[in-house]
Amino acid sequence: MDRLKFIVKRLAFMVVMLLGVATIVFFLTKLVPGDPVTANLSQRALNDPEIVEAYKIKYGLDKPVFMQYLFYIRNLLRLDLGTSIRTNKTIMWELGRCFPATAELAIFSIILAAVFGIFFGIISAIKRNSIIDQIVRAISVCGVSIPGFWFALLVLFFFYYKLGVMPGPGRLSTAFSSPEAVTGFFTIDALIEGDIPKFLDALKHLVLPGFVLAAFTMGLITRTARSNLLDVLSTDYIRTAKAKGTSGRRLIMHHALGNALIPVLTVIGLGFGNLLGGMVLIETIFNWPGVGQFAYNSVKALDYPGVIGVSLLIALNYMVINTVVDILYGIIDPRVRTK
Amino acid sequence: MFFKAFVRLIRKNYLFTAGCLICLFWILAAILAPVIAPYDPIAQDLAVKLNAPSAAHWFGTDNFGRDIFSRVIYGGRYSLLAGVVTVICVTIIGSIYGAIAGYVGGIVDDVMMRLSEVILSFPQLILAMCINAALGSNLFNTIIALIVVAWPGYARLMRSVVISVKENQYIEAAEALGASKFRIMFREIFPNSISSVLIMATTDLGNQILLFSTLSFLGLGSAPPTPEWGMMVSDGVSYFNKFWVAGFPGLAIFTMAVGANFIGDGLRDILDPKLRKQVG
Repeated sequence: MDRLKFIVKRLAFMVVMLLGVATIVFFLTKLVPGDPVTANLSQRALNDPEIVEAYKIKYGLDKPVFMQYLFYIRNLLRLDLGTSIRTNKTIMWELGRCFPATAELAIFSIILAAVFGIFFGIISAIKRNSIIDQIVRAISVCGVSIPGFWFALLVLFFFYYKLGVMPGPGRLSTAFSSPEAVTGFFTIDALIEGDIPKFLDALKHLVLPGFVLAAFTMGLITRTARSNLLDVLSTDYIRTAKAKGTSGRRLIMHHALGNALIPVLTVIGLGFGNLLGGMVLIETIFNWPGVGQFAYNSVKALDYPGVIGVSLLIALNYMVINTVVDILYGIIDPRVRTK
Repeated sequence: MFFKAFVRLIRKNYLFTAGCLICLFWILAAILAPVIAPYDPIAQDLAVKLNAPSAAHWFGTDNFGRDIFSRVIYGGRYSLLAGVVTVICVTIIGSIYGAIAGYVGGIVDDVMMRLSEVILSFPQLILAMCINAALGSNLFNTIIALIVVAWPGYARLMRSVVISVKENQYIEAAEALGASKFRIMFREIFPNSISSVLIMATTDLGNQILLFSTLSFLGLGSAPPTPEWGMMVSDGVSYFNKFWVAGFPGLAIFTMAVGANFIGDGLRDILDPKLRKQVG
């Protein structure tokens, strides 16, 4: 019962936050100079007063700003985000097209970041203050300091242009056609088709952008894992376990790690949210047809329906992930629930 | 005491020392740019365009024949300025906002904190891009965008510290002596809460420098031909095989961010008692 209440509270909170984001985006676009009618309709449609009138009524543009806001929220609740000025397709369609590409890359990347981050964190904590610890710390600081756009160019220059061991931008080599969309994840769809070479090609295309995206989050995870493991290692119950003769790998794996990794979960959640933001750069450079590239093109073209759509999608994602992490947290760590 | 701690840090923590040296280098380079830079950073010389690094042009030249070394040296000014101004402004805005929310409490606190959470739930980069697109791209507006995006984190930290500080007995004593709420807040609570926000500001400097160059890379900073590092890297994208065009400005951003982060890391180590215990 307690748990259910906790989850319901988190979900209600999420709805309120999403409404807040939608409100901010709305007023931000109201600050922008320019008339949405001329921006959204073509020249021919503008010459037809009936179309202009219909458009104004549909989006409530003939009403005062507050009423417009209500209309906007109403359309939002009907999942109507309007039409992209740039591509002339509905924003919902565009986002549906972009999202799987981004999700595939983000999931691949967060797995990389979590595996390496936790591994480095453990090594660093066990060998505290040794030369290995110093090196790992330097690497993690470099990870959070390297400008993503530059790092992306760097790895493309070396692994694609100079060494030729990795494929260039894009999701698939030109030799392959896109697999039939089932999940929208090229790797999984290729497997469903049973096309192993295509699967490997799609996987290879994930490596460079995934690695670049992971760098920042990996630094954060390493740091958190290290400091939490150190914390746990100095607790009484670990001392008891040591006194009973437990040592080495068993001590870390069975006794310390479980508790040390709880806060890491939060960082992974936050990192995943940040990844989606970082997508803007990586997708632009790696020509990855995802949400980030769509966001970049929308901002560049002053396509405000597009910008609003992307902002809402990413904010929604961020909140869903954080809510899931919070709920998991509540399940793993009972202290959080009672607070 | 602070000075002593600083000297101890310099001696013990190599990463911190390295960070100080790197930052000192960039500060000097920014101040002395006209003396150090061998060429005018925006002077074009098409006769030498896209030349590889050589004795005449240490970092090579770009597609307009501008000397990349000179541009990198001048470029430090923009990154440093944007980073430092942003961090100072958000420290002031965030700490005052957080202090009010934490001290007043109740419904005021709730409303103020929900507002800051909404901004936090935005993807930083996209919000900054939107603001920049709405206001128009120039150095000033880019800094505004960075400030709008960054302050909620500071406000939340300040609030959490103020909530614990206001429970202290000396606050009760001040109230008993009849000090006004305004006085208690700014003379008693504020000075006792600000230190953790200042640590956060130091560790955040590197982030702000990165975010600034990212916006600049996306074409949302100053107009060309300003030698901003991010913009210089984006110039290099079109000349992919000429590695020096994007390579050196990117390296400059990286080293400056590493320097700032090493300092932040070192400060956190010495000032966070939890971490200090572990080291001891």
